[in-house]
Amino acid sequence: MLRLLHMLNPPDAGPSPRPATGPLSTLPPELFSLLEGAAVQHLVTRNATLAPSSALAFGVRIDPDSPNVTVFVPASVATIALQNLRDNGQMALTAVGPADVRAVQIKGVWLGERRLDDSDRAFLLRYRDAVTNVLNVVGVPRSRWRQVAWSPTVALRMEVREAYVQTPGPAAGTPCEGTP
Amino acid sequence: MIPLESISRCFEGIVPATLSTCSAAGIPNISSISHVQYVDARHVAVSRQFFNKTTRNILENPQASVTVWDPVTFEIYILTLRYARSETSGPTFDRMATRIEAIASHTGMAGIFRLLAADVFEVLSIYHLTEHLNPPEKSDPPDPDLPDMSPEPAAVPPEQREELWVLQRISSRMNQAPDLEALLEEVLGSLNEDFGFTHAKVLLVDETGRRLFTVASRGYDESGVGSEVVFGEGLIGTVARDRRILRVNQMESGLRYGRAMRAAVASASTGTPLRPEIPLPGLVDAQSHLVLPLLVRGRLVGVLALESRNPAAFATWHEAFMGIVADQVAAGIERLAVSDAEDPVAAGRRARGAKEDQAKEDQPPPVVAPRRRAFVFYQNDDCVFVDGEYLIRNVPGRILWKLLKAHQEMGRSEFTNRELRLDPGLGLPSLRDNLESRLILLRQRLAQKCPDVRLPSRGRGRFAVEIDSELALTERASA
Repeated sequence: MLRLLHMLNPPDAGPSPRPATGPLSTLPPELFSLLEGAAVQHLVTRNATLAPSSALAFGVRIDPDSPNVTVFVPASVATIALQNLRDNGQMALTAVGPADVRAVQIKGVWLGERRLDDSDRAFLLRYRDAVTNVLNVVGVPRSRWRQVAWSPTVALRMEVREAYVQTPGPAAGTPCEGTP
Repeated sequence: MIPLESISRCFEGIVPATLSTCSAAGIPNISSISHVQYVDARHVAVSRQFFNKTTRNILENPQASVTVWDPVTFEIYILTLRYARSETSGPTFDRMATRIEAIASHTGMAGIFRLLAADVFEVLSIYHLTEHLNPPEKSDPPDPDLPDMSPEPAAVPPEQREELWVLQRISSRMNQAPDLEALLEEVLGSLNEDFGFTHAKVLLVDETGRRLFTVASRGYDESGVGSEVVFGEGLIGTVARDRRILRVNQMESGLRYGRAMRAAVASASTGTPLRPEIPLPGLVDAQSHLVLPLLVRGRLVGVLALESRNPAAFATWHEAFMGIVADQVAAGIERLAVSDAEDPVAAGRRARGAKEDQAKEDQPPPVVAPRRRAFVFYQNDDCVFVDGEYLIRNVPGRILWKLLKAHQEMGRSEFTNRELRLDPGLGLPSLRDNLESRLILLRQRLAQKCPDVRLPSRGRGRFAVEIDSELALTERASA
């Protein structure tokens, strides 16, 4: 079983290829790499009265064959997000590199939940280790980040419709090509 | 509701805070923010440096949410907000602008990276989230990476008596000081021993009124006495220019934000020249700063700068508390820097000191060949070098040169402050000339670079020139 898991998704697996079309296809490489890389991520949803609510997200996997991604959210903090998504489906996610504050935001709609498979769990372990390392560089003790209860995890499928540069500065908020 | 004050340390967290909004069309938006500003028990503010999607959203739909992380426990606080107003002036705006401009200046972005408005939000509720954390395993060994972050004083209120005690201590020690040099020594000593602030320095305004020079410091390998800071540059220069207290915790977090913006501006090639980044004076790995203007009747006499490796060393309440200390220090500096009247207590102390000095002098000195010292004075910038090494410049440079020449040419060894004040060639301003502070600076620079030339005090308003070496004085037009 372990051998099969490594064949499916070896621990040193590289990032997913960039989709050929859609907003993610035109993201600058340094921002595209944040989505599956060592970035702190937050998901935002909103309720029926347009009140926004954010939750810690724990990794994004990109589907190179579609404009869709999977956003992982620890089940312990997902209750309100799921209520909101079932109400209206609107979601956005920001990914920020802790060391240099490069940031990207993607916006889109919820396509539903899916079950986690072994490759997801391997991905989440790599994500956890990568974020632990980069946060440690900026002063977060490893033991603190390892305390985050990322499992069980909810896998939210998202159709990405817009992508924005969000690194602080005059270009923050600039839409990437492919964003309407 | 959880008191806002009790979570103020989360407002500058290592993990970036996020601000969530939603457009009138129902599209949510989320952005990371470097800092949440505490306004009062019901309000916080967020800086706006650019008009962006967040701004448009809050104007359309005032509902918002901020998520902050506790830097010690990693617990999360979610603040449900309602946009109240945007301020472009006033105390909140000024405090946020000072902080942003200080970081901008520190990253070479002065004048480019500035505050447009302080967006003020009413805090409707605070949700304390801990469900995302597993309980720590009791068998875990202590984590060597864990920083020393003492509990937030606002969360664990200190005994009032303790604060009064330290205030009384510093006040008493300052009152005992007979002169400015002793006063600065007592202030830094009390900050270290009574307050626990181990790294501190005092800078005074120089004769140009646009620069500060370090007159005393404590806790550093190099004293830095004589180092200069131009008004408006870096944290200290910004405090001098704006005359407002500046507290920056999680300094690295703020700098990362500033540097990200600098990189973004540089890559945008706007043609605006960026100034080189200036290094922080003092601790190279400082994580927290508290910089206080020293004001007397609204006039800046100097700056008191504290720093710490602890990312959460200074809390909100320190601003008010240390503001009291800064006022005391400023008044003390003013009292001792401008008065030349002979003080009998100080005179007595000095007389005793002089007797002790005399007793030391009565002992047979060790027989050593006098050292030869080559002093060069450069007329174009009033700069003095000793044995090829920079010593001092400007007013203290001119004073030293006058003293050395008088000693060599006329054999004089006793001088008064009054005669220096009356010498138009020294360029001292007619009012508040800071002569005392210039002499302190000169003494300390001599002690560091040329200890065989000394200017010991001989009572208030009088001092001597003592030289244990052979002098060679050269005057040049320029280097």
